[in-house]
Amino acid sequence: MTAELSEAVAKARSGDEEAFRFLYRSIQPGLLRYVTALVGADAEDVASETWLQISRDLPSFTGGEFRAWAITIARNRAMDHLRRQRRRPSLPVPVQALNELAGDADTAERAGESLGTEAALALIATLPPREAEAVLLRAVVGLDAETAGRVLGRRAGAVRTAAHRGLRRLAALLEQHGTEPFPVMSERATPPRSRGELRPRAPRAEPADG
Amino acid sequence: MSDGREPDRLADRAEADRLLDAARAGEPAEADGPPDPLAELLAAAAAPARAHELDGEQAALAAFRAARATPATLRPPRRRRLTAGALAWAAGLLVTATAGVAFAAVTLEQPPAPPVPVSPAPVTGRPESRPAESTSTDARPDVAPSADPERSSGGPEQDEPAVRLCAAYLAKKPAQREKALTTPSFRPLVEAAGGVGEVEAYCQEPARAGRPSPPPVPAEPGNGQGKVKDKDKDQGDDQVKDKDKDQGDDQVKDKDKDQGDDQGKVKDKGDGKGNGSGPASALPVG
Repeated sequence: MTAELSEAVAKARSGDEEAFRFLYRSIQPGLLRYVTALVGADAEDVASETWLQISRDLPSFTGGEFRAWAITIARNRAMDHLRRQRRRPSLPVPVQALNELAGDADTAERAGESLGTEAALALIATLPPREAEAVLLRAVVGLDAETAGRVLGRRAGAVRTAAHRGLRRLAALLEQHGTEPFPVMSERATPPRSRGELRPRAPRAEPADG
Repeated sequence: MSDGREPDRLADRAEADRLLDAARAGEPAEADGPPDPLAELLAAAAAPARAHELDGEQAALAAFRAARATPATLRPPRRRRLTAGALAWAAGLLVTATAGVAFAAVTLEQPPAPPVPVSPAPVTGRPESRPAESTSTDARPDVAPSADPERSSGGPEQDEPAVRLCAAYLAKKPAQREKALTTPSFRPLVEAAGGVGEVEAYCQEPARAGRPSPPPVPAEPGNGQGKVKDKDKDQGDDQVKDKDKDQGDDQVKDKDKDQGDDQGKVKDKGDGKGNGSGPASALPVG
C-alpha cells in the first residue's frame, strides 16, 4: 500500500494524471471522513480546498509519508475554516444532515456490519476532539501513531493514549446501546462537530485509564 | 470496570493499537469469539470509499491539470528575480564595455581640441562621481544633471560631450533647436555655453563646429548610412525627449558615455558594431 502510494506520488509529480487519480481515490475517503469530524457539513468544501493545495504544492513535496502530508494540509485547511467560521455567527446544526446520517445507519447495512459508516463516524466525532482525531487518524486515515503524532504536533505516546481513551469511551457507548439499532444520531442534541464543547455523556462514569 | 460485563479488553494501549491497526488494514479485528461491537464500529468507520465521497474527483483532477499548466507558485518569483538580476548585470556589463570602446573610438578620432572655455554651472555641490560607478542602467544615482567639477576642468574628454551635443543641436531644424535646449539631455550644453542664447555661438566655435554639422539637408528616410545629421533628421527630436524621460536624472558623465557609444557607432563605425541589445545602443540620438 505504502509502496504503491509512493510510486503514484512520484508519477504524479512528473505529471501523470492517472497516478494523481489513484492518490485521490486512495486518500480522499479517509481525508473527507476526518475533515467531517472537524468541520461537519462543510467538509466537502474543505476537502476541495485541500486537493487544490495538494495539486499546487505537489512539486514541493519533499518525500516522506504522503498520506500524512496530505492530511496535514487538510487539517490546516479545516482549522482555517473553523477560524473563519468563528468570526461569523455560528450556524445552527443542519438537522437534515443529522437525519441523513441516521438514515445511513439503516440503509448502509453490509454483511457483518451492524453499523453504517456514517453512524460510526458520527459516534467517533462525539469523542473529545483529541481522542476523536487520534482514533480517526489511526483507524480511518490509516496512519501509525508516530505519523499521526507528527500531523497533530504531538508525541506518538500522547496519540496512543488519546486513541486508547477514545476507544474505551466508544466501547462504553456501544455497550450502553447494546445491539439495538444505533440511535446515536437522532438522540444527539448537539452536533458531532462541536469541537471542544462538552457533549452529553453517557451517564455512567467514564472508565479510568489504566 | 464499571459494570463488569466484559473483561477489559482495552486494558492497555497495545490492545487499542491492535484494534486500530486492524481497522486501518481493513481486517476483521477478531476472527474468534463473539463479534466485537467496537471492532465493527472501527471497521465501518474505515469502510471503503462510497461513491459520493469521490464526487470531487473531477475537480481535483482539474486542479491537478491547472497546477501542471502553471508551475508551482513558489518557483516563478524566484526565477523572475534571478532573471531580472542577471539581466541588470548583463546590461550593466554591456553598457560599461561598449561605452569604453566607443569612448576610445571617439577620442582617438578626434583632433586634440584646445581646452574649452567652459563656464562652471552654478550648481556644483554634487559629490564627485566616477564613470565606473554606472555599471547598470538601473542603478541611477538620484542627482540632477549639473555641471560636474571634473567636467569643467578642460581637456579633450570633457569637451567631447559638448561636441557631440553641438552636433546634435546643429543637426536640428532651426525651429526645433530652441525647444530641444529645454530638454535635460541638452542641459549640459546649455550650461557649458552659459545660457540658452549662447548655445548657437558656442557651437559655432571651431573646436566644436569641427565636427560634420552642415545645415540640415532633406534626406531619404531609412537610407541607413548612419550619418549623424541623417539620423537626427529621420528620427526627430521626439527621440531625444523619449530618451530624456528614460534616463531622467542620469549622471551627466555616464549618460555622455552612453551616448558617446551611439555616436561612435554612428559616425565612425557605421553598422560595424552590432551590439543591438544594449539599452544604450537602442537610442538613436547622436
